[in-house]
Amino acid sequence: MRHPVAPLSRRRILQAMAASLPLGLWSSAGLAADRPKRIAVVDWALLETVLALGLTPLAATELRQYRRLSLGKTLPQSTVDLGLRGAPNYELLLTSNPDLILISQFYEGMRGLLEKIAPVASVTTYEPGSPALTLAKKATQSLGEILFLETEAEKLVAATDKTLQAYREQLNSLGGRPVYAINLGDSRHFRAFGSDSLIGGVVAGLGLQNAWDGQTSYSASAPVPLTALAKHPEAALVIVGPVASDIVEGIQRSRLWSALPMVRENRTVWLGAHNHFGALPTAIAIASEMAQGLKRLAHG
Amino acid sequence: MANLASTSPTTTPTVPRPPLSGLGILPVSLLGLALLFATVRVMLGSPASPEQCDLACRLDTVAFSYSLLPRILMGFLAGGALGLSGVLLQRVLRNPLAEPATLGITAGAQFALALATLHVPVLLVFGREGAALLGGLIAVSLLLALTWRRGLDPIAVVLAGMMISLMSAAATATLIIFNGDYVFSLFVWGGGSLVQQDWYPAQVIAAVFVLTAMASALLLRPLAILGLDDKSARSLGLAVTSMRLGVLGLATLLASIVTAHLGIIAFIGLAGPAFARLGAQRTMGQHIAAALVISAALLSLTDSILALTIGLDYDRVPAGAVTALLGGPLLLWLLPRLSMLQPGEKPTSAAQAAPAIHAPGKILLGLAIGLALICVIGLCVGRGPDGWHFSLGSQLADMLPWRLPRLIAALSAGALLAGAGLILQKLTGNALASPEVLGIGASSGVGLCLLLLVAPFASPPLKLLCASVGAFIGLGVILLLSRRNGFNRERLLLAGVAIGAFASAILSAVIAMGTPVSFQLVVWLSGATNDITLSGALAIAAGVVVLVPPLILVARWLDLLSLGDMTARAAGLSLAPARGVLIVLAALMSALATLTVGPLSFLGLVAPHLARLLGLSRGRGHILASLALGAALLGLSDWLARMLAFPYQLPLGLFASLLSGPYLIWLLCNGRGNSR
Repeated sequence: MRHPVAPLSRRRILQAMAASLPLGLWSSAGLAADRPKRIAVVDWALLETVLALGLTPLAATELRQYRRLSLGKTLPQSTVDLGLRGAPNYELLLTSNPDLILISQFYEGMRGLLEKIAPVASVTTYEPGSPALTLAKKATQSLGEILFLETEAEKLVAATDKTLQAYREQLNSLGGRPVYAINLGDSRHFRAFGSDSLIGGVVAGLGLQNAWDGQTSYSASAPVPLTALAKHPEAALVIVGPVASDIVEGIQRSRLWSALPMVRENRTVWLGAHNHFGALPTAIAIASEMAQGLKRLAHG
Repeated sequence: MANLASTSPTTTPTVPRPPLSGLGILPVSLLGLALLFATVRVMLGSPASPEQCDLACRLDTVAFSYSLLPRILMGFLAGGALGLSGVLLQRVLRNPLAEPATLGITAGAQFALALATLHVPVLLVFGREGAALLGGLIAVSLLLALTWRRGLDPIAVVLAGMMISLMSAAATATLIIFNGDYVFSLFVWGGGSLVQQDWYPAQVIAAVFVLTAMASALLLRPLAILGLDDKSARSLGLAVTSMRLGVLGLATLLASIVTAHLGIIAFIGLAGPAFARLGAQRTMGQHIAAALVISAALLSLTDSILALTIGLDYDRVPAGAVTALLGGPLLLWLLPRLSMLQPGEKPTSAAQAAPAIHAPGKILLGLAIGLALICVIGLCVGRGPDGWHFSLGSQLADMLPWRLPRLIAALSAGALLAGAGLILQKLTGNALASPEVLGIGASSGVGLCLLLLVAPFASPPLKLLCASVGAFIGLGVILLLSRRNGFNRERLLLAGVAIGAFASAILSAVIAMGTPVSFQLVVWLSGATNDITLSGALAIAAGVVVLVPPLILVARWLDLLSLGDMTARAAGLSLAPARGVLIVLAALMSALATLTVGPLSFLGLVAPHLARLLGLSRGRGHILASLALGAALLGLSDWLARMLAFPYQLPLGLFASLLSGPYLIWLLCNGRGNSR
């Protein structure tokens, strides 16, 4: 049902693209002196962005969970696990001796303590009322400035647009159906990704109509019963992981699930496990998984 | 498809019982109202005729017969099952406050389910039902172990049940924190959702319900005899113990199965029997039937009203969240009507349990040395990427800014909790009283929660203010209610339990709605001290400096009050002012500590017990020993919580409750017998 993503190959493509462009030569020698090298990352959206910009973070939080995500599988083993995102281990962070700590607005409460260890840079990744994909691009650019990797950041933004556009063209020819993008909470409830969420941004970027009309106030976390999917029976259904194993069993038993038009008529696409509060790398990965899945539906 | 629906029982009260007229007006009219609402929902949900059916309407048909119909039936079924479970528990424990939620059965079942799903799939061999039943049975066994020696005294049972509930909630919260996205469903269960998508859960619950109802009908006579005291029951030839255990097992089965499929639906099992008692049923069979009907109608009504109002588009508020909100007021309303409270045996007062010791100085000295040792360990011993370290000198100076604030906060919060627990135990004369059990912590959580809903990024001082206001209001309501009964100790305790249940219900309802505030609340519930600053820690320490001296000054009041009102008055103590001072002290102490380590650590309960076990049970010795033990235990907990899963840090409050919970159970089971 699910198919694996290959973020590694994607990053290689990005790097190859970067190398092929004359402006993107890595040797920006003049800036190298100030460029932070030992980076600790507290926020996951920033973690994946830092990795996509070609840096290996010295330390990051909650890697035990992060490595379970599709994108997390390729994280280098050398990165130190700092413990829970909500409660990073300050002593270990101190021992790791970073020269920059990256946080998002979610972790502003820790700023005072973190600044005792190293300079802190904060990048806004989510904000009520702002479309998450647009904000993720801005965050990537800010991160590029902070890390003296502006060119790489621009390339990542461009790569995102390019990926979305390429798939948009491929999907256009298929005749668009609206798409529900959801995450299964249990076998009875789901979370919907509205237009303002990151995944909603990907849906729009692919030129698809989001079947979920409501805003999801950027959290997308209020549980909704499955019957709400009946509002647009013609829609395709994209299920974003992670999916717990008991849920899969539960929905296999469910008459309502199998009676959903999108399930009965085989219009479901299962994506791998992603960070719902991710950044551009997540957006690219979801876009390609979603587009390939939808294409397969159209052809098979 | 259609015959599936028709084979399931469509009328809820399947117990052989006299005609409805024997039930009284309330159950019949409630049932009528519930059926009316259900009919409206069925009519609104009916799909168009099949001839003119497009794609959308075919789904409507399925949604009608596999979602709406089972859901409506489930309202009656689950309500009836919980009502039956409640009434059986009340009979067998002779306790009008007993029901699956107050006894911790549902919370135990929920924890077992979460554990099975996330980490121990083996437990799911017998399905979700099996895992839930195991959890429920463990909770009941704990309850029995804790209170058997007290002859299942009703108040002890309710307090122990509250404790088991809190402990299970702590354990479930730990799982949530460590599993991130994979536990979203726990939020939903926490709220108890009636949403259905096939007939399987309804069939399982119906089968269990019918079998249990039939068994109870056969057991009517023994049940009636069990309602008498044990001696009369035995003289009538009843095997009291095995009978009791059997009925408890049935009630647990019912509640666990409902929890396995719907989540926690609290207080329905309490409301049914309570309202049924209002009517004048002549026989016990009639009372059971009335309780069952009322519970079924109430749950169905709640669900219908939700579905027809805010849930018209889709349901965001689970029915369980609403029934939980009804529980607090219901318990409070019940309190003055508890004429049928029949304690099996008067509980021994906590203060009289241990002999006085002749050398309190030596013990206190030992405690001081232990405390110092814990400080040294907490500050100097740590783990790094390459193993254990004992830091001294400049290395220690590097670590001190991180370790010192946490240590100070933990020691201070521990002492404050111990102080508050000691006051509450002596004041109520009940060894199970503590800020955690009486819901003072949860009340301050409601204050915090309301603040966060308005201002998600509020500053720490504002949080402290709102939490304190919450604690004061909680304690204030408890006092107002118990004042009406002349500060009756037992009423005070029960009012506390009711407030705690109400406050926790508000918290879990907000958490279940899955807003950004939810996660903040879970973090607060867990009692995380990772982000404490030195100034924050010193503020709590200042609380100790200000609040402890007055407590030591009034040590004599505590001892007198613990001997009972008569004795205290005879010794020349004016009760009301003394109580007032002590209560204000207890409220301040618990609010300050709770804000730091969350509402769940059981230190307020454990520390005074330990002091008593060491032989210090009265006067300043008991106070000092309790404070030292509370500080030492929380200091040690903080160090262990940082070290055990390094680099992952367990939240202090949760970790302390997981540590002290089992110890407390051991203490109450064994220590009590030995200390006399």
